[in-house]
Amino acid sequence: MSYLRAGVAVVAAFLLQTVVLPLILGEGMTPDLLLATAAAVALLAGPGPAIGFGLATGLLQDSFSGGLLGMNGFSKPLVVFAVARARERPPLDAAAGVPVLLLFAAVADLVILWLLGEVAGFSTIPERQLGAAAFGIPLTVIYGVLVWRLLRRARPGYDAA
Amino acid sequence: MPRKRSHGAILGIVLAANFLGLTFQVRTGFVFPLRDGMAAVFGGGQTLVATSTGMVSSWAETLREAHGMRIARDELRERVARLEWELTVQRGMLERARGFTSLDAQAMDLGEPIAAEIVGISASPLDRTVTVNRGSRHGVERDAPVMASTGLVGRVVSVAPSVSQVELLSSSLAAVAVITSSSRSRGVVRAAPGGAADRGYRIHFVPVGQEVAVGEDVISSGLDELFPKGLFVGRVSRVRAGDGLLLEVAVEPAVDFDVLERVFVLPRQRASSELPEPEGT
Repeated sequence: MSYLRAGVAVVAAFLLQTVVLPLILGEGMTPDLLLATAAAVALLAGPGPAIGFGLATGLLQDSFSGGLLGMNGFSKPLVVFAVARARERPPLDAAAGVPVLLLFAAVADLVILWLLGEVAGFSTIPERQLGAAAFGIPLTVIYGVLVWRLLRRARPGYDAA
Repeated sequence: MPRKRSHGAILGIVLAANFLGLTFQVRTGFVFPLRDGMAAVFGGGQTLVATSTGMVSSWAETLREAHGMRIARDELRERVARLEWELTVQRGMLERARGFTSLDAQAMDLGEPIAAEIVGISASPLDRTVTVNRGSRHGVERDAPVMASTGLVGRVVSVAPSVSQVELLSSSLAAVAVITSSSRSRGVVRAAPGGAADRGYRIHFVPVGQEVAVGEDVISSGLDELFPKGLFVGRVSRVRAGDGLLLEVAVEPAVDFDVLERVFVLPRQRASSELPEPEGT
């Protein structure tokens, strides 16, 4: 996997997430394309790069959202690191494990963000946004699988499996 | 294993830094400048994509509007055709009220017309037929009378599923039984034999002695059992003595065939032999 392509994928996901998706989906469903991309990169690149990509995408998300800087910067590296680690163990190292891990990443990210708001008291997420994010999980998984396939096909390289 | 440990340590540092940063922000209300830097870096890309998306969206909107306008245009055309037809019927009824009350008092009931557009003219310059965009699928029948908003056009001579051929009254083969409005002279209207220079009609079989006047309306008499009674055919433009015992009556057509675009196909007239016997006979 090329890190340049991974970077381009992150930028593309950011632009899709912030500009294109609001026009198509509206506010009722908000998939997290940045998380999907970071998780896809983590699945291919392993735990080390996963932390870097997770932190970068998390801070990028925080910078362009109204919440505190660091909410996504906390959750994303943790989630994608966990995904990358889990990918190293059978049976999740098979191709069928990819959507399962992406689903886990999407759910875990929401849970962590909710915990940061409700338990740690940083920034409470409105229920409506939480519901829209939950509805967006299937799209997040599908997008993650697509990115994973694209990056995997790009160039043979390090695969966590 | 050491590598895994180092990954865990890095993750721990990252998480701790974020947690501390969050706490710091909540406690002090401090805003990290990273947000401005990110906006400066990625804002241009967002603007570019938003502009492109806006253009695509605008094109799509324009296409959607064009499609809607096309539908509205078709609906308006249909509505205009209906109104033209209603006007034709009203005119016909007025003509009846003026001069034909003694001939037939019943209201003009021509049935439901089928609005059609002329989509082709005859391939041969000698043939005076046109093709209209309605056929058997739309209920058009052979020998059905065809009207324009100004008067009688002709009759259907062939029917295909989606188109029909209409023989114009200006054809040398076409004929219609007529009656004049005031003198009530009967005859048969056919195209004038003079060709392009003489494009009107002639009323045949009007005997000398009939007081046909210039300007009289000429309408179908219904005697041919092809065209219903009361359809406006034209106006008498010239009357003079012809050969033998017949008058030569020229008629100015009610329809300008050169600019004809839309017509109405009427239900085919049932011949008297096709009609059911009256009750009690």
